[in-house]
Amino acid sequence: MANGPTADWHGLVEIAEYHNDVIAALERFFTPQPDRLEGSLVNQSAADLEIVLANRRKETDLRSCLVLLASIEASFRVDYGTRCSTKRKDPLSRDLRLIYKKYGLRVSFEDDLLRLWVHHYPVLKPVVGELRGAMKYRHWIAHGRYWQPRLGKRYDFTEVYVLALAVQEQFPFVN
Amino acid sequence: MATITFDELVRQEQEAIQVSSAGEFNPFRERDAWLERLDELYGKVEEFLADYVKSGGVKIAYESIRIEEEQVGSYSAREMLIFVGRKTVRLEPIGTFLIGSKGRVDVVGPGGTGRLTLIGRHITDISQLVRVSVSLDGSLPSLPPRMSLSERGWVWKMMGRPPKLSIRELTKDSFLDLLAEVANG
Repeated sequence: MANGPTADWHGLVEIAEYHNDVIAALERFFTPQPDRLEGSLVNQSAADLEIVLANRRKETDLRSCLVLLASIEASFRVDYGTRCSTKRKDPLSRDLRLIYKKYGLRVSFEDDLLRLWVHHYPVLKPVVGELRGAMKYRHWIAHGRYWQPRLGKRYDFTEVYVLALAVQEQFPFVN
Repeated sequence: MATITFDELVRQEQEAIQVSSAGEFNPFRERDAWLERLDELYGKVEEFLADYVKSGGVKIAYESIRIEEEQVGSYSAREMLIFVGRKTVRLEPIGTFLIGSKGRVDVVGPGGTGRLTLIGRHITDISQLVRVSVSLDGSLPSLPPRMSLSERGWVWKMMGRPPKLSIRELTKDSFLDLLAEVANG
C-alpha cells in the first residue's frame, strides 16, 4: 500500500500556477495580432476572438476544477493508506482499518471515507457537505458532460480552490 | 412512485420557512440580504465612476440574470455592465451560499477576471476564512455560530486569483486598477 503521494501528484499551488499559466498563454495567443494566429482563427474579428477566448477560459477553468477535485480525493486516499498501514490508535484510523479489511484500496470516497470522517469529526460536516456537492460537478465533467447537471450552485476554479484550501486546513490528515 | 404527496410537501416547506423565520438560519432572508448588499456594491461602483460617467467616457447599464442556488432555488439579480469605449466589463453576481464568504461578484472583461467578495471586516487573509481547528486526538471543538448577513461587519473586498487569493480593501483606486486590468484585453 502506498504511504504517500508519488512524484506525479500535484499540490494545490502547483495546480493553480499551471492554471494561471494556461490562462495567460491563451490571452496572449488571442491578442488580436493576426500574424500570430493560426488555422481557423485567421481573419476573425476582434469581437469574434473575444468570444473564442471566453470559451477557452471557461473550458480551461472546468478542466482545472477536475484536476483540483481529483487532488482533493487523492488527499483522502493517501491519508487512508497511511492510517491503515501505520496502526494508529485513534477511533477514525481504527474504523478505516475495518473498512480496509473489507474493501482494501477500492474503498468508496463518498460512501466510506467521507461518511467515516463526518462520523468521527462532526465539526467537519459543513465542508464535507460542500465537498459532496462539488463531487457532483466532478462526476459531470469526468463522465463527459452529456447531461444537464443539477448542481445547486455555480462552480468555478476559484470556488473549488477555496474548498480545497478548506479541506487542507480543516482535515487533520496524517500523510 | 412518489414517496410524499404534494399536500405533504407544501406543508413541510411552509413549516420549514416558519421555523426559519423564528430566529433560525433562513436562506431566503440571507438571499434578500445578499441582494441588498449587491445594490450597495453597485452604488459604491457608481460613485467610483461618477466623474467618468459625467464626462461621457464611461456608461453604466444593468441587466437581469438568473442565479441558481440549492438553498433557495432560482432567483433574479442585477448584473452591472460598464462600457469603457469599445470595451465592456460585467460585474457578474455569483451567489451567496459560498465557502468562506457571503457573496461574490466577478468583474469580467476582455483582459481577464477579477473578484469582489463579501467577507468579515476583520478578514485580511484567506486562511482566516477556511480554518476550523480539529485536534488529532479526536476531541471536537464546537461549531462557530453562523453569522447572518443581516448582522453588521460584512464588507466588500477584492480577492486575488488562486493560489494567493490575496485580499485587498475595495477603494476607488483599487477598483479602478482592477477595471483597467480586466478591460484591457
